[in-house]
Amino acid sequence: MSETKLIHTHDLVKTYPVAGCEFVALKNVNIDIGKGEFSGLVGPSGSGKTTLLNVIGSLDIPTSGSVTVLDHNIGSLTHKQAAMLRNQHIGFIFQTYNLLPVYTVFENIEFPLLLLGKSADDRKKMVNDALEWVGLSAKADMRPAQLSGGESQRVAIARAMVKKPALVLADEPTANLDAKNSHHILETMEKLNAELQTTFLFATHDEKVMQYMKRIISLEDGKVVKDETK
Amino acid sequence: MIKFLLLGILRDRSRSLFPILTVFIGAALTVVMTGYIGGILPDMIRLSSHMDAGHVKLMSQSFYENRHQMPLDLAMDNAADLIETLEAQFPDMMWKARTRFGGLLDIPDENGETRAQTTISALAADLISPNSTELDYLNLTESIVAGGLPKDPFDILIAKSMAESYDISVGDQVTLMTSTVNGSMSFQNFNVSGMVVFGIAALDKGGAIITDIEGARMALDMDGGSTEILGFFKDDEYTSERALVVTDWVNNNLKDVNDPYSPIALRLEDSNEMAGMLQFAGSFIFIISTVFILIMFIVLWNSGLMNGLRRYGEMGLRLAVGEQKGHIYRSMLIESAIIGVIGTIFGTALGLVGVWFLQEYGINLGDMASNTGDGIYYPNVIRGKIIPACFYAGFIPGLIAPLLGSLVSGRGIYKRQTASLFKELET
Ligand SMILES: Nc1ncnc2c1ncn2[C@@H]1O[C@H](COP(=O)(O)OP(=O)(O)OP(=O)(O)O)[C@@H](O)[C@H]1O
Ligand SMILES: [Mg+2]
Repeated sequence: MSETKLIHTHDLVKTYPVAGCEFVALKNVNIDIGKGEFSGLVGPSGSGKTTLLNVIGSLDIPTSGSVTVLDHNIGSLTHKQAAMLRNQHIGFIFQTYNLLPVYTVFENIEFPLLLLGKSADDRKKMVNDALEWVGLSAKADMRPAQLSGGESQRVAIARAMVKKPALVLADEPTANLDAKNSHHILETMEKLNAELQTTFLFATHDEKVMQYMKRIISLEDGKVVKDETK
Repeated sequence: MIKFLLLGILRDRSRSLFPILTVFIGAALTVVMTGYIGGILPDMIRLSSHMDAGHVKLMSQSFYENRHQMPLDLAMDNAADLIETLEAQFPDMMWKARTRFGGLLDIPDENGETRAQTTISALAADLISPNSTELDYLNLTESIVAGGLPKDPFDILIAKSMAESYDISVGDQVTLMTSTVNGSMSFQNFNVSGMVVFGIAALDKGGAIITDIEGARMALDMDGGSTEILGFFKDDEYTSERALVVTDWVNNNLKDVNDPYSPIALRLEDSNEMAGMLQFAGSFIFIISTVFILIMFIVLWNSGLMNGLRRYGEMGLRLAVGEQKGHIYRSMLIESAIIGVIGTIFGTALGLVGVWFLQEYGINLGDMASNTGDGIYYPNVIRGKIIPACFYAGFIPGLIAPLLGSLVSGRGIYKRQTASLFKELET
């Protein structure tokens, strides 16, 4: 793999069967994203942002064309291999934070590490580090229901970041947050991007998010219509 | 990981309480049923052997082959000799001749004219010789609701329901019309000495009469004969193995294939009427468990709490974090196993308390017992018994039902695409 190319798509097409015909959600998407990038997919609702993130994140497979993420050809991965790829190298952040309500902040962040089979000592250290990154060390023992939206999203960021993945995919991470919190979590991610060299790929139509992006890829009807680097 | 799952179960009451409660109740009921049957079975075996099958039953070979027609002419003709041989061979047993036969009971009016007739089935046993154990074994003393025990060979006891239907009173004379062992007609007058309610539908409702065996021999012209000889272990402890020793001896030494009147011996469980019940006895834990597994499975499934539907969001997230489908599936199974174990432990504890009460106090079914029509011989006061199976029986449905529930519902994870599970996150 070329050291800098983390994501590579070639003539990526994704269609969904809808009422008997095929709905084309992504049309011949060709993009390359390098290591350490902090970039965003933007475009109107229905333009295919989430679809593209899902395919890159190996949650979905391409209909045709190819997607290579960290040297793995997404289309040819087994379920197991895809899970392993996500487990080891990819972190997800969602519009709805998707914290597990039963578990504490600490345990939510710890969960990916359990899957990785880390020792209890390692887990403790790594979770505490992650809590520190997002400034929530004091709330480690709280339950998600006791947190504000901004805090919840920061927990989700910590969960995505705790294993120090190569790639973080964030789908509308600020959609449920006010301006102050939006800026706060973007600053947090910007900082992590700088400190850990983590690659971030956002999907958003939030102007506030866009102003942080170093590169903006615009989608319309499943096609890349613009690709600008600041 | 287990600790992680356990925490989830303990904290998410809405998710775990109902399934645990279901398992708890199911396990408790299973244990109570097990103890109930464990207690009632010995009673049922005792009563059934006493009333009907003995621990071992001897019949003549030809009678046995045609036993459904109750062919009196094929009955054994010298019960006393046979009993003597058997007593010598098996000093720990006692042997009783009994005869079953059918006929017509003629009920006269005050002028001696026929007022009514009804078919009856009669059981003849030794009722009047001093110290006869039959009174005890047939539970006659306790079953008499009017009148008294027979004192004379021509005294009979009749079922109370029949007495009521035909307006027969204690002290009435009735005529039994039947055919003798030689095939000629026989008319014998009997004096009704008492009425009985056994609490056993087959006897209470079937037009049953009980006569002394000597009276019956005279009426049927079967001097010294009987249709069957029942053997009882004196300690009244039946086991298949013990009985087998006896039947094997009889069938090897007394049975003669060339002599249709020579005896053949059957164990309690080989007697027709008992087979089903003892079969049930052998597998009752299995049967109860199956029933409860089904019930609990349906309850758990319908409740929607086990089927993960509510948890597709969680599943989607776990997939996104990189957990494998198989791993999620396994963890669901482990979760239900934990729920099963917790529910069963508490359920078993409660069940044992229940069985203990059944054992100490019993339940007097009283009138209900006499109304049940299942033909199984059991006592009015039923008592449970804490048997070893009470300690593990609850775990069979308690573990299998939730596991089965997760097994079925978990297939949803496999059937759905990762992406569509994941979509649930967005809504
Ligand atoms: N499973 C599916 N079946 C059918 N059509 C789908 C499916 N998933 C997405 N689509 C369609 O594909 C198109 C792109 O959807 P996608 O979710 O990628 O849009 P988006 O750019 O993320 O929009 P938004 O900004 O509203 O989140 C939409 O028209 C959507 O209806
Ligand atoms: Mg979207």
